[in-house]
Amino acid sequence: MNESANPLNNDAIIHLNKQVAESSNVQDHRPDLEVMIGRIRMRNPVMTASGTFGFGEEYAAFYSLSRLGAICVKGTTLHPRQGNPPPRIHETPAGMLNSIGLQNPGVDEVITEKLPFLRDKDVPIIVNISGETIDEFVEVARRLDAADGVAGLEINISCPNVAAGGRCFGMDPRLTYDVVHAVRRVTDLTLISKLSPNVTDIVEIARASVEAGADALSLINTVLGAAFDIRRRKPVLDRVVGGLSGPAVKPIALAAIWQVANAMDTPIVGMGGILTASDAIEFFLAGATAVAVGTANFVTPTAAIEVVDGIERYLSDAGMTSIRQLIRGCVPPCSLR
Amino acid sequence: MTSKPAAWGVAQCGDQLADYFHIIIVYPVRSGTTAILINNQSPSPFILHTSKREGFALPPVVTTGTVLSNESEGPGCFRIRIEAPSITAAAIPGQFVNIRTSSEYLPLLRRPFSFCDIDRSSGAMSILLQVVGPGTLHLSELRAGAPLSLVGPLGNGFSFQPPSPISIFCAGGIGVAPFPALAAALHGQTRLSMILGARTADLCLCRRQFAAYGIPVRVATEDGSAGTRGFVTEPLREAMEMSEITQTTVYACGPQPMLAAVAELCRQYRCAAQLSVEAVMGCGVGACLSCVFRTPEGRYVRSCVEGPVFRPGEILF
Repeated sequence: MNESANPLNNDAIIHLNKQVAESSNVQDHRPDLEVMIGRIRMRNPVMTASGTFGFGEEYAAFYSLSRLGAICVKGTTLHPRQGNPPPRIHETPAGMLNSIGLQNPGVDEVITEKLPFLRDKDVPIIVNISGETIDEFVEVARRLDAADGVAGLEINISCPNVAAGGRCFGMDPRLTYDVVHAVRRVTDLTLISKLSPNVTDIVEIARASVEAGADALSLINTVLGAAFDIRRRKPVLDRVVGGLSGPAVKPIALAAIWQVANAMDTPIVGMGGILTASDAIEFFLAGATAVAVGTANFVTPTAAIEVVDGIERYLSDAGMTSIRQLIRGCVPPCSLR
Repeated sequence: MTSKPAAWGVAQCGDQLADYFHIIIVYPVRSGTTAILINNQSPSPFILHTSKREGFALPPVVTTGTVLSNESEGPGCFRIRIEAPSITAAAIPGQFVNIRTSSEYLPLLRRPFSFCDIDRSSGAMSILLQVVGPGTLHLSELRAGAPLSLVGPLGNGFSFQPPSPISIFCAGGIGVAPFPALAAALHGQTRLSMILGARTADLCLCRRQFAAYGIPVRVATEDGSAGTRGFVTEPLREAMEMSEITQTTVYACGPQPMLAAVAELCRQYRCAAQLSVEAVMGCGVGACLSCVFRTPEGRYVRSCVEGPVFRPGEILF
């Protein structure tokens, strides 16, 4: 677990020494990790994925939250939600299914009870918002726009657990456009549309989001999944289906990011099964500008900052001076597409 | 630290913490109590937020422990002794440690275990486990010297300051795990007795330890292979009948139906009780919201943060 020991290999040390010779201040030559997502300036490209980090309180016991690039907090709805009856999770090979049911205290309590704790933590706060109707999304966005200390909104058009009329916004380009557009009209905050992989053509949904005014895209949300208990001969989860996350979904996420990155230049926050810095680097190569660490926070509370440290080490070892040398590293430039 | 801010006080920290921290200053905040601890090893004080419950909870750490021994305790049951000074120093009986069972992330999630023994002098603690799946199977195969990724201590432990004059331990199956540590903490401060339930005689674990503390143990087995045949509830009822009920606290840990029955008995007899629940956990630190129990008010509480020790009436079974 101790990632703070000097892991630099010889080449990197030689490289570093060269830099020291050029400048008296070695600090200036640490790789530049800063990225922009919309108007959010992130000091490093690692945020936490919504629903895996609460409102930050639990993890503040383990490290200073200012070490993160951003925090995306738990999905927030207009009214408080108690969530689904347990069992709410089920472990699967290299992953887990969840069916939490968007348990959250509602936007008003988030503003009065949760945001004040985060406000002085020197880290951009992104609030993930959900609703069962466009009006609910708009009202949540309006109230968060008026609150202090919110840097951006991540629009959860894709949560598979909340089915109003059976179909999620994010499975239909028209509905996607409508909800993102409606939110765009009430706020100037950076808007990130969080896409579901459970669609026929994710590029189409990404385009609808951008045309409606999204500044960035998060992908992917969890993959629809189910499990059955053969001893009781019943579904494991109360709602039968849930969202699959963890390393099992990583290739699905990378493919989705690759497809979208090849179709547009909109910044992508990549997520889906990132446990380590090596995983994160794959996401940058596939087309992500930033990454979010999700299920890994459950596995190891310090996972997100270990990813930050690992990315910095990777850049140093490779002689790179900026994360921007890695971002979209395998994506052909626009002119060649 | 000679000057002491007026609003602060020096904590009644009890022997557990005083061994490890020279100066403990606490002041109340809205969400509980904040303590500043000055360690005799480290010059920098650290600040922690305690739980809303009384007493201290030191902040959890992510660390790597070393397996000291792994011994069979019964059929499919093992006691693993782990050297992990930073966790052991802070552990309170009833709290748990979240263990990564495989370095390959298979299984992916950690498994929570109660502290079975807390030996601060050697910096080692032990867990008791029953093999029920791939995670516990991995752990059962560990040899001395193996590294183990740990997060702890986590959760709200048993509360016993001050201890009630009479304490009854009530354990079902592998739910006996936290009681050796609790017995060590309560030993000599309360009149202790124990009701130990299991499916069969050889699954009645830790009996030698309870005998060493001179704790009378009544055994109940489902197959009648030891003690009375049946569940712990009948012996518990008899024990409560004979006990000075206003002076008594029942500490229980076991499967949910057992805890539900114990909670109901304690309600009938108006006896104080603390129940340690077991639940499938995702993270163990309060973020994933999966290990929840419903409250009588219709809310959900997390067994990893608000529990795993609850009072009867706080949660519904």
